[in-house]
Amino acid sequence: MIKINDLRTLFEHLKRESQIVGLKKDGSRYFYQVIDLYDDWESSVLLGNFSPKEVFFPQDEVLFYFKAQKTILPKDEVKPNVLWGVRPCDIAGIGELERMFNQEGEEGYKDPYFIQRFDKTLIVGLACTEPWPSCFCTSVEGSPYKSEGADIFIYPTEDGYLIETPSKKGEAAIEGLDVEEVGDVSQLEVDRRRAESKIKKYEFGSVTGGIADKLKQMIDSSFWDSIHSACIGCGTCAFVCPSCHCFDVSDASRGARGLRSRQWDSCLYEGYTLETSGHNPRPSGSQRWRQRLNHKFNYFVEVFGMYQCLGCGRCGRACPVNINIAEIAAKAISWE
Amino acid sequence: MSNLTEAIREQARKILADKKIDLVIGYAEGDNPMRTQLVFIDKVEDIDKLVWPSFGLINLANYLLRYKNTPHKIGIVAKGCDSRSIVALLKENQIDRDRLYIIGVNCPGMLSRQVAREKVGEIITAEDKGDGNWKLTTVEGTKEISCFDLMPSNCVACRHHAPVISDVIVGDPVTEPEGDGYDDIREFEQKSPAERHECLKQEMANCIRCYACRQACPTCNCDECFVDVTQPKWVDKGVEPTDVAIWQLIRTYHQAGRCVDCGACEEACPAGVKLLWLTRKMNLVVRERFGFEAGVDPEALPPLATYKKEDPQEFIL
Repeated sequence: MIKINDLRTLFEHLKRESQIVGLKKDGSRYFYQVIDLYDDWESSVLLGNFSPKEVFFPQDEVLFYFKAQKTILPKDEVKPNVLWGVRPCDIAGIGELERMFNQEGEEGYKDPYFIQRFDKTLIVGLACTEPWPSCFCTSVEGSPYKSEGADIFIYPTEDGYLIETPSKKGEAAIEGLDVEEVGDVSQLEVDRRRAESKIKKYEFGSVTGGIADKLKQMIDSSFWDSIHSACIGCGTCAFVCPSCHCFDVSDASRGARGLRSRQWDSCLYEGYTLETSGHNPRPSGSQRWRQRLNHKFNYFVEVFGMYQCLGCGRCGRACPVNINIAEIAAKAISWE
Repeated sequence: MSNLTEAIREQARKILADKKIDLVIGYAEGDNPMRTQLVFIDKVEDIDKLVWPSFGLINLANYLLRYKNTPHKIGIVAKGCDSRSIVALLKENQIDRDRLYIIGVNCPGMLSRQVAREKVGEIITAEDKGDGNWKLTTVEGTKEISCFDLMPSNCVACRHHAPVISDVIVGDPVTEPEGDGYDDIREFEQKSPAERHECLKQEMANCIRCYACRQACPTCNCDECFVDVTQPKWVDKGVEPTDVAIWQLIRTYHQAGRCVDCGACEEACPAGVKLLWLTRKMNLVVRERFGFEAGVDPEALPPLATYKKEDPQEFIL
């Protein structure tokens, strides 16, 4: 671990090589955008209204152009990015996208669009000293002090900042920075416990044995009819979620060329599973909610051994009718 | 517990116990600051979940569409604007009046999370001081703010606090303010076209095409929305500024003479787009040209559904 007194020095050091993307205020909302000046960074905001997934997986992305018999790939315009001040839940979200879009093994799906962005991004994480009432990361294997997945991780302390470099990429990035080494970091454990104690805890049980097992037995349960009533199927939760990664593919014309692009989609949309024939295998809100909860707490666990919900609480904050996925998951656990 | 909460529970309990209805749709406490949850109550013992919220901008009439083809008899808590939406839906034959029991509320106006954000920043906690002020903890510090400063533009402009249709009314009558409530739109109209264009361009740039506005709106109820139609495709699906503008403008046009200015769309928007600029301008045009307000007169036909010889049509020639 190393110590620095002012984050500005780290910011300026990283900015020499690439552009920095971090939380910036825009109107009344906070988004991840390119930050030119350190002072433009909203350091006091825990979470942006939208997650940083856009950096790797934009909402509206051209896959290729086509003209008669020819396919033209979009010109590579991806610049090296430093993703600055990302919280542990969002870092975990990026990890989930990576599992999905850059799958292991010969047979695994590799998404070139995601991968080229991911490879050019340095992730600078930031511990949460003051979690929000809507946070529940500790219920889904997270922690406000979890540095896993970051290249560089910042721990705010009473008299400055401790910096950890969990990856080689991060280590290389801070070379040449004027720092002092710190041996004793036992205070971090105390800080971590303090921060964790402020977070609402749900009992979902262990990842593979708890709620996932329970949900496997609930496919035909009347539970699903009891929880979705208020949902208007607006998909806002999926759009603000750091790990939702479903997309829809569409074609459009641009002058003499056509283009194929993909846009974010949501399992709560009625048209999500609509087939060409007009048949819809998930015609009702209850089935769509069953899918959402199962994907987050069961299917993803089955395939990747981890929750697909990171406990950032954005969905409950953004939902027009204030549906809280953690409350619903907790209800599922205790459903008779 | 407020008197309104008590009165709503009392009415709901009565009709549910008498089996006059199968379920009651109403508001419940939210679990996030400045949010309200909804409840669909079919058991008398759950009645105490009902509350009269401070932040109840969601339009409950929206949920009646779910029961369009079911046998349910429904009790519904309706603010002034919700009741107007019910009238609009009745006129369009979306619901049966005889399957409804409307608990109308003389609504003093709601507060808006969007407005709070706009004025003080992202809200972390909110506490009702009980004296008409709210204590808000935001990312920028703690502030006290009067509830009048948290009202959305549609509640400030509201001239129909009393339900226009109901089976029972609770709450004290609210004095309707002077004027027609459209001064803010007239002020906006005073800007030059270039300025207006810039303002709207800014708003459209924030839209993420999630369609929360459409889903929150009771009169946005087409079986198939034009943006979801792929054969033929009316508008591209991405977030190109032109596509976004087409989506928002057509949605607004479709609400001509149908929008009751309840503000549910703007409150539902995760990106804070000022949607009421568009819908309220539309309402002002309908009002000035055709002398019509949506959902106010259960007998009057909406302008889009009727034709009068004296309708202004100088724009055609």
